[in-house]
Amino acid sequence: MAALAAMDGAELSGAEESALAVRFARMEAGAFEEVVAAYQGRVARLASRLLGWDAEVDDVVQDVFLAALTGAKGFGGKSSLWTWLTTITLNRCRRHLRRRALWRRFWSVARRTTLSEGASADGTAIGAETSARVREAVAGLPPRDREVVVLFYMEGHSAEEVGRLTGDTANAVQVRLSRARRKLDEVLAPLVKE
Amino acid sequence: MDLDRIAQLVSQADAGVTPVVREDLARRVRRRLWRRRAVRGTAAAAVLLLGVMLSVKMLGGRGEQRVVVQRTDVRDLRRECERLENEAELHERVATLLVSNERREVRERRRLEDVAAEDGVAMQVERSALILLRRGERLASYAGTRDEGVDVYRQIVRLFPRTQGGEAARKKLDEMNSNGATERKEQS
Repeated sequence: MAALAAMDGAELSGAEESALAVRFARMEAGAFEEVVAAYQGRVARLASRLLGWDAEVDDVVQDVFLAALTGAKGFGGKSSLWTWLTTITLNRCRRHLRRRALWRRFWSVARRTTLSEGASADGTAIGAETSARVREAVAGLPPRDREVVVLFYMEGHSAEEVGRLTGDTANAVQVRLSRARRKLDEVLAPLVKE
Repeated sequence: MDLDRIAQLVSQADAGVTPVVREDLARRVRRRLWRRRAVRGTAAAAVLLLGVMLSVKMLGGRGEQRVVVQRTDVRDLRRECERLENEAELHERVATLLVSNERREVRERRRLEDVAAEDGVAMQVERSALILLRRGERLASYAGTRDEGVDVYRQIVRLFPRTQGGEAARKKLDEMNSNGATERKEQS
């Protein structure tokens, strides 16, 4: 088995990304490998967030790059390579979540986690515990609301960009964001001191 | 909790959580693509082969079936033809019989009509002869018109020789001739 490695995937400059996008669309030798090297970390991070920090990321990341490889000719360069990969990642994560929901319904496995009440007894673990609780709270959101939260707060996209990526209007994105904030407020408020 | 606090918490939620990705991702993706194409190609070939086999079987079966149907049709056709011929012959006989019956009836009717017509004419002839005979008898019964009576008798014999009136008139003439000969003999 190949060694496991955490790859952050250093971001490319605009010119480098454009050149790589052109070479990738032409299916030039080595272009796909360069795309994987440049974006696998970001794709993995995005997929991990969208799936609620689930451990089943490697399969989804493979799916994303497989779709990119088979759809390279269809990448017309209308958007940036990262935007295109983000769209593919969103779709693949949605498909993964649907299958997982069906599978768990079939096997009657309860997946939703509930937050445990009460503060941690160990003061030094509050940061990590809070992060874990926040991740749990975000993971507990409905999938479409979670997408919006991840893309808006974690990926740094604007509401309009989130709308373009998810296929929603800007208003629908705002509605989802406020709904998610209300839910997170209910869950996180008892844990966080103002 | 204000929005900024939520945003801060959420944006820091995955701090320290770094997903691991294997180094050979590109190679694995290419291998997976090759496997998918191989599977799809095999599946397509299998479907094509199955389709060809089914087509051959269906066409072959249809051909055989056609032959069987033809044999069966010929026998049935022959039987059907015989049946139709017999039926036609029967119809023809019936038709001929009907026609001949009709002709016979027509002939009979005509014959009867002719006979009736002939009888009518004969009767008329007879009647005429009898009427003349009565006239002749009336005329011959008087001495002054006896000669005219004889003329009438002779006319009847001439015109209606084969009638009862004609026969009667002949007899009258014979009697009158014999009576006339007897009177002349007695006078001499």
